[in-house]
Amino acid sequence: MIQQLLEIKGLRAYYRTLVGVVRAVDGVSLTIKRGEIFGIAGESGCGKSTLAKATLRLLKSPGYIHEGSILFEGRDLMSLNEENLRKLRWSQIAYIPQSSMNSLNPVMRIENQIMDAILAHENWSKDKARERALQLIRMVGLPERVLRMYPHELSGGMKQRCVIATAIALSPKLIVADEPTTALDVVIQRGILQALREIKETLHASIMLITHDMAVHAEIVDRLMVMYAGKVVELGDIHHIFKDPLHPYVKMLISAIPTIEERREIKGMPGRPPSLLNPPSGCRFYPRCPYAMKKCSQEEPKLKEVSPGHFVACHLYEGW
Amino acid sequence: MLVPIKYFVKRLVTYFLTLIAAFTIVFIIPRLVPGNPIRTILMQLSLQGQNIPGGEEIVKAYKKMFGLEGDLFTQYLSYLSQVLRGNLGISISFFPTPVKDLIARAIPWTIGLLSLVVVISWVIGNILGALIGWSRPSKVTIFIAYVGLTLSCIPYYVLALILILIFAYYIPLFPTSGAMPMGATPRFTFDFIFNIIRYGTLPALSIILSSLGGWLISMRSLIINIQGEDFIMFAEAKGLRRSTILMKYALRNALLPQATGLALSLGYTVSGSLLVESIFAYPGLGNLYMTALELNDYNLIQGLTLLVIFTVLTANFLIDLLYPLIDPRISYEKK
Amino acid sequence: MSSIKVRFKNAAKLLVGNKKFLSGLIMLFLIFMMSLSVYIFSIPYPTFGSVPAFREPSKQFLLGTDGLGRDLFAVLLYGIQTSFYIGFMAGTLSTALGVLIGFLGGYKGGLLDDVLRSVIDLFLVIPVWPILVLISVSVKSLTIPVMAFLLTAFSWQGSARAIRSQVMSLKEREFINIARLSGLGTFEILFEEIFPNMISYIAASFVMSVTGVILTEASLEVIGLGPPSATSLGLMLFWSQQYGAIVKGWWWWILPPISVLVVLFISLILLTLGLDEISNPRLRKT
Repeated sequence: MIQQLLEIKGLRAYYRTLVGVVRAVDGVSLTIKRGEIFGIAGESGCGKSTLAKATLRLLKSPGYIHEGSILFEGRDLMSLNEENLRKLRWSQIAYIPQSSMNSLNPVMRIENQIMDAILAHENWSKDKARERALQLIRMVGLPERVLRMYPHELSGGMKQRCVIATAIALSPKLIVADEPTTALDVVIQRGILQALREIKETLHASIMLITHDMAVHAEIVDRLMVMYAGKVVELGDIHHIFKDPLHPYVKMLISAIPTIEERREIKGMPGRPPSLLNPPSGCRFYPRCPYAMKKCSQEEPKLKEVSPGHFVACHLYEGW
Repeated sequence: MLVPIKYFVKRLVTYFLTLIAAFTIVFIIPRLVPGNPIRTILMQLSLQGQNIPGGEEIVKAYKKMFGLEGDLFTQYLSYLSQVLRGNLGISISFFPTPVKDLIARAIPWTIGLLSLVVVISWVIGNILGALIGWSRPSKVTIFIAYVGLTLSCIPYYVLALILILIFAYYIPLFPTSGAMPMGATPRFTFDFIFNIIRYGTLPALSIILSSLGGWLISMRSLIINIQGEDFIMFAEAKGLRRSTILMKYALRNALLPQATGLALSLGYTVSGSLLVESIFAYPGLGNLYMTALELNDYNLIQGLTLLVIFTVLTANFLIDLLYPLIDPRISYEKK
Repeated sequence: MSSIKVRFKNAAKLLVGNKKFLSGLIMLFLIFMMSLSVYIFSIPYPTFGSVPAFREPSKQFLLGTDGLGRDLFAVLLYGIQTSFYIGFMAGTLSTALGVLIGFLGGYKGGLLDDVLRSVIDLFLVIPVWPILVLISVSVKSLTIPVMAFLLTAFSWQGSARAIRSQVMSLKEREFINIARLSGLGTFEILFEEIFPNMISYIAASFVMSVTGVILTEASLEVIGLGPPSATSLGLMLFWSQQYGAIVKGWWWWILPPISVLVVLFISLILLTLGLDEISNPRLRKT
C-alpha cells in the first residue's frame, strides 16, 4: 500500500473549561495523499481549527489531545520528542494560521521573520537566506520593499501573503492553511487561491485547506471533508460531493452557495449546532435535519463508504 | 536623524504645562492651608535674623526677593522667577545656607545610589521574571515567583529595617548608617572607594531587593500573557528554537512596556530611596528631606519637593521622546 | 433584576474557587479578626503614659511597651484597625471618584473627555508622594479623616484611567449601540448595560486602590507625617526609629508592625492576582 502523506486516526481533541470538557474534535479520521489539496469544511465552531492545530501539536492549554494517532509519512507525530518535532515543523509541515494578521511579530521586519524560519532549519548564510526571502516575496506577488517593512505597515492581504511566502520557504510537503482567505476581499482572495494552486503544482506539496466557504472549496480543492459538531459527516472527491451531496447537512451547505447562472431561493439553515460540552447521543445533526428518523436520535451513524472514495455518516444510507 | 518638529513640540508643550501645573500646586499649598507656613517662616526668619548682625536687613531683603509681600499673583511671579534662576530660598534650619547648596551637596550621593540601583534591579528582575514565565511551571519557578511577590510587597523602608537588623545588628557585617566612616575625607584611594561600597551596600540592597520583586512579577505576567499571542504560536509552528522565540519574539515585545514602566517607576524609586536614605542616615537627598521634616524647615522641604517633581517629570519626558526609537510601531510622524 | 442575583452568585463561585483570591481574602480576614480581638479581650485603647515605658515583652505586655508609655500589643491591634479604616475608607472613596470620572470621560467623549483626560494625566504624571508630604507638613492638625481625605484626593487617577479606557472600548460594542437606538438614556445605559460588564475592572481597581492607599499612608507615617496621636502601624515604626530601637535591638517594636504590614500587602496583592487570573483564562492552571 502506498504510504500516505498524512494519516489521522480517531483523533479526539478536547478543551478543559470551567464548565466542563468541550469535545471540539470527537473521533476524526482522514488521509491526505501527496500532491493533493484536501479541503475541510464546516461551520465556525465545528472543530476545524482545533483539528489543524492538533495535527501540528500546536494545541495549547486548555486544549489537549485526548486520544488518536497522527502519522506523517508513517512517523507517529505524537511520539516525537521536542527536538525532532521542531525539526519536522516548517521543513516538512508548514502552517498558515487563521487571521494571519496577528501571526507576525509586530516588532520584527518581514525579512527577518522569513529568514528566521529558514535559518532555524538550514545552515545557510544570512545573505543566502535573504536572497531566498526576496525570491519568496516575489513569488507571492509582493514588491521587494515589503521585506524591510514592519507588519503594521502592511494591509491584511499583504500580511497574508507574507505568511504564505514564509510557509513555502522550505518547500514543505504539507501545508495546513486555516481560513487563508477569510476577512479578505474577493479580489485578494482570488490571488491567494491562485498562489495556493501554484504551490501545489510547482512544489508538489499537499495542502490541508480549512474554510467554511464552500465556494473556495469548489474552486481549488481535490477532495473534501465536511465536519459538523466535531465529527466527520461526509468525505470524498470534490466533484462527486458537489454533484451529488449525500449528507443532509452538506446538501444544505451546497444549496446555500449563490450562483450567477441560476436564480433560485437561497435557503438559510434554521437552528444552531449542538453544544460540544454535552453532545447529544445519536446523530448530532438530528435537531436540524429535514430527513430525520427516529433512529437518528438514538444511534450515532458511522462513516461508511457508499461509493468508491465517497464516505458519509448518515442513517439514510444504511442499506447502500 | 531628525526628530520631527510636530511630535517634539507637542510633547514639549505638555511637559512645560505640567511643570507649571505642578509648580502652581506647590506654590498654592502653603497658602491654602490654615495656619499659613509662610508666616511661620517669616516669624522664624525674624527670630533668627535678630541674632545675626544685620539680620533685620537680610530678612527684609528676603521678604522682598521672594515677594512674600504683595498680592498672590505678584508672589507667584516673583517665586517663579526666583526658582527659574535656581534660587530655591534659604534654609531656615541651616540659616543662612541657601537651599540650593544643601541640595547640591546631597545630590551626588543620591544619584550614585539611585542610578545603580534602578538599573540593577530592573535588569535582574526582568531576567528572572522572563526565565520563570517562559519555562514550564514547576515547584521551583512557582517558589521563585512567590519570593518575588513577597519582595514586591515589602516597602523599601521595611526591607531596609529588616536588613539592618540582620546584617548590621545581629551579624555585624555592614555599618548601620552614613556613607563613609566618620571624619573621612574624600580621596580617590582604594580604601575610600571600598568604604563607599561598604556603606552603600545595605541601602542599595534594600531598594534593589524590593523593586526587583516588582519587575519580576510584572515581567513574568507579561511573558505568560505573550505566550498566548498568535505570533508566538506561529513562531513555534515555524520550528524555531524555544530560546530564539523567547529572545526575539517574546522579550522584544515584553520589554517595551517594561521600559515605559521603568520611567513611571522613577517616581516611586525616588520617593522610596528618600525613605531608605533617612533610615540609613545616608547623606543624600533623602536624609536631607528627613532632616528638613524634623526641623520643620519649610523652605528646604519646598525646594526638595520641586526638585523631585522636576526630576520625575523630566525623566518621563525624555523617555517619551526616546520611546519611538525602540518601538517600531510608534513613529514620530502621525500616519 | 434576578439576572443580577444570578451574576453575583456566579461571580462569587468564581472568586472563591480561585486559590490566590481565596488565600488573600482569608489572610486579610484573619488580620482583621485579630484586630477586633481588642473587644473580645477588653484591651483598652493605648493612651500615652498608660503603662510604664520601655518594658521588654513579658506575660503582662506581650510585645513590651514603647517609649511613650503604651502597651505595644494594644498599639499593634488598634493600629491594624486604623490601617483598615483609612485603607478601605480612602480606597472606596477614591475608587468611587475614579469610576465616576472614568465613566463620564469615557462615555461622553468630546470636550468633557478631553478636559477630564488631561486632569487624569496630570495626576498620573506628577509624583504624588512629594506633594502629599508637602501638604502633610503644611497642615497644622492632621487627623485621621483629614488623612483619608488627602489620600482620596490623590489616589483616584489610577482607577479613573483604567475605567475610562474600558468604558471607551465597551462603548463601541454592538450592544451599546442597540441600547442607544432603543432609546435608553445615558444613565440607564451606564447602569444597566455598561456597569455590569465593568464589575471585574472596578473590583480590581478597588483592591489596587486600597493597596496603594495603605502603602502611601504607611510611608507617610514612617517619616512622621501621620496624625501624631493616632495608633497606626506606620507610626509605630516611626517612633521606633525615633527612639533608636534598631541599634538597641528592641525587635519587639520593629518586627511586629513590619510583619503585619508585609502580610497585609501580600494578602492584597494575592487578591489582585486572583482577580487578574479570573478575568484572564490563560493565567489559570487547569
